[in-house]
Amino acid sequence: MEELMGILKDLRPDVDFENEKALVTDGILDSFDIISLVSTLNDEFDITIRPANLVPENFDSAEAMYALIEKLQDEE
Amino acid sequence: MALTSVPFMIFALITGIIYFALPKKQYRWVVLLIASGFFYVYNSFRYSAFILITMITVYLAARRMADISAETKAEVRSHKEDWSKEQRKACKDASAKRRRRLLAATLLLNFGILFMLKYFNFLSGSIASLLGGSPDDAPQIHLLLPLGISFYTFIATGYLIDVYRDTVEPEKNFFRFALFVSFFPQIIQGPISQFGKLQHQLIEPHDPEWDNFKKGIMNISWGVFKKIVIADRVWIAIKAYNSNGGIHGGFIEGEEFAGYGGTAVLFIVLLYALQLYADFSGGIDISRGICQVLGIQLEANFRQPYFSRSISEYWRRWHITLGAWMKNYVFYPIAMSDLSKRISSGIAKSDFGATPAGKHLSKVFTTAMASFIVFMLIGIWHGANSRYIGFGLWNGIIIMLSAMLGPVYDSTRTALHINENAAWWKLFQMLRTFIIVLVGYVFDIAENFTNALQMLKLTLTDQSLSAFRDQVSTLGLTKQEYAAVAFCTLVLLYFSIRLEKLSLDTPADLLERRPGLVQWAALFLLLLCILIVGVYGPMSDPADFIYMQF
Repeated sequence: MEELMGILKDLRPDVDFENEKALVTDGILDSFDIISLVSTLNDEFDITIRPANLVPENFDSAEAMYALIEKLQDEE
Repeated sequence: MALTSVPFMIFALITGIIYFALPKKQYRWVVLLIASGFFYVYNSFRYSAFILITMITVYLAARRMADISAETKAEVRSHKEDWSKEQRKACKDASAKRRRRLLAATLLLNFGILFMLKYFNFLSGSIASLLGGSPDDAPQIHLLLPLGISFYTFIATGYLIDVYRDTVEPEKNFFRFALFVSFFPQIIQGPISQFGKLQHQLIEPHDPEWDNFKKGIMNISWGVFKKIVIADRVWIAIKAYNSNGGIHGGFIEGEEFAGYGGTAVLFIVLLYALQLYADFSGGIDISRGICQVLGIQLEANFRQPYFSRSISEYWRRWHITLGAWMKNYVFYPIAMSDLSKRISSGIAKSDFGATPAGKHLSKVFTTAMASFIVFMLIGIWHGANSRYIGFGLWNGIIIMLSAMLGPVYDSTRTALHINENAAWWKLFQMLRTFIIVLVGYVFDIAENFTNALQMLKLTLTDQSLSAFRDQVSTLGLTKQEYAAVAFCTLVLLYFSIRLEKLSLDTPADLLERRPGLVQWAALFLLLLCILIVGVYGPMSDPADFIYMQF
């Protein structure tokens, strides 16, 4: 989780990732952020995030992203 | 039967009454299906086969995909003991391949139909010109477009991709699926609903609720106000501009006319921005209002787009559901493709990739390219004409540049000590974005790409108020009509600012906070305004919803 937080802070230092729960729904992260984030997460966590995973439920909060990463790691 | 016509309103009313009166609640969706079927056949009888082809092929493909998945799962389970990990993977890969082929074939067929009907004549004419012949001699398909073909093709294929991605369960009942594809309030001009968000609402029975009814009626009235009080009136001027020959001129009532100057062009572009927004968002308000009365919530398609501070924000607030469709099914797959990854890592590993600019570019280049492709598609989707390619190019290039030059903007702003949250800066950004949007609209209004460039040049080189005063009288509107449009636009602006400030969706949400008397008074005034200032009669053709033709 700490590693993820570090990546998120690097991507967008202006966003409060600890408390924000609607990152995608409220448009705080745009599609460019998401693509950049996905490529970093794929490399750092050795997973393959697919377009099908890019639903708001998976990216609205840091916890949701972490849950997705764990799920994909289990599948690999 | 257009959304603002009396027959349509009566049709919607009867549908609502039968829907709520049906005692067997579990069959209420059948009322919607029959109404949608009737609406489609009534409006587009000759071309009903096309929507049927889409319904049947997409329905069957989705069912087959689900079957393939189930068969694969069963097979893997039955070989749980004797298969190695590699064998399991090979079986799953083969299944994925079959599903992918099925998806590709169905998409190809459905977009193929859309493409042939919309672009065959344009392409065949262009090829004939290239070969040195006349476009008029080229083979042509003489067909009007089937009603809502773009919208239902997008809706149905979006569903199929969702099934392919396992994000929704496929619909087992063909008739329920047919309702999703043909649902009458959204078939004319969207929104492009997602299966996961709409289907359960269509099937669940709803009971009449006073609150839904009141808000629905208010939204319908608001939509009608935007459409026939503002958009249809302004449309008269835009039509006059075109029929008088635009910048090149021609004859007006037998007298020679030299053509419009730069100030008049600017004025027309501003009117067009007003007309397009009032027409399209008004139509959506009517569709959403009808659904609201029925207890169904359609997705929002507009969120005060002209208040956007960047062009990418504008495209998240204008025709929202088309943007979402493009993002989910075109942009993400391209930006996340292996090719994109290879290009990005290629840039990162090169010598240039070690510089700060190269580092930034390696991150955003392919994403920027993907959005460029999306805007070219949106442009081409609007119609078969070089001006729409210009429209796509303009928006695509701006978005691409703003992504690639992001750090340059940021450092310039810091160097100039500009506070990002200052009111004047936000206002400047809105104005800048609006101007970019207006330039895009010039391509919409112009006859073709070259004409658009000439119009743009005129707005920069030929500003003259005295010429404008003479020319504005040829646009077919009286002073009173301009005054009425100006007043109603101020009302529209006022509500837009309030909605923006309070982050609300519709004026009905805004009025909800007021006492009942104020709500009814507002509705009464709105209806009065529609009756008095609306455009009716032979002058107007309410069937001309701008987006219907897409």
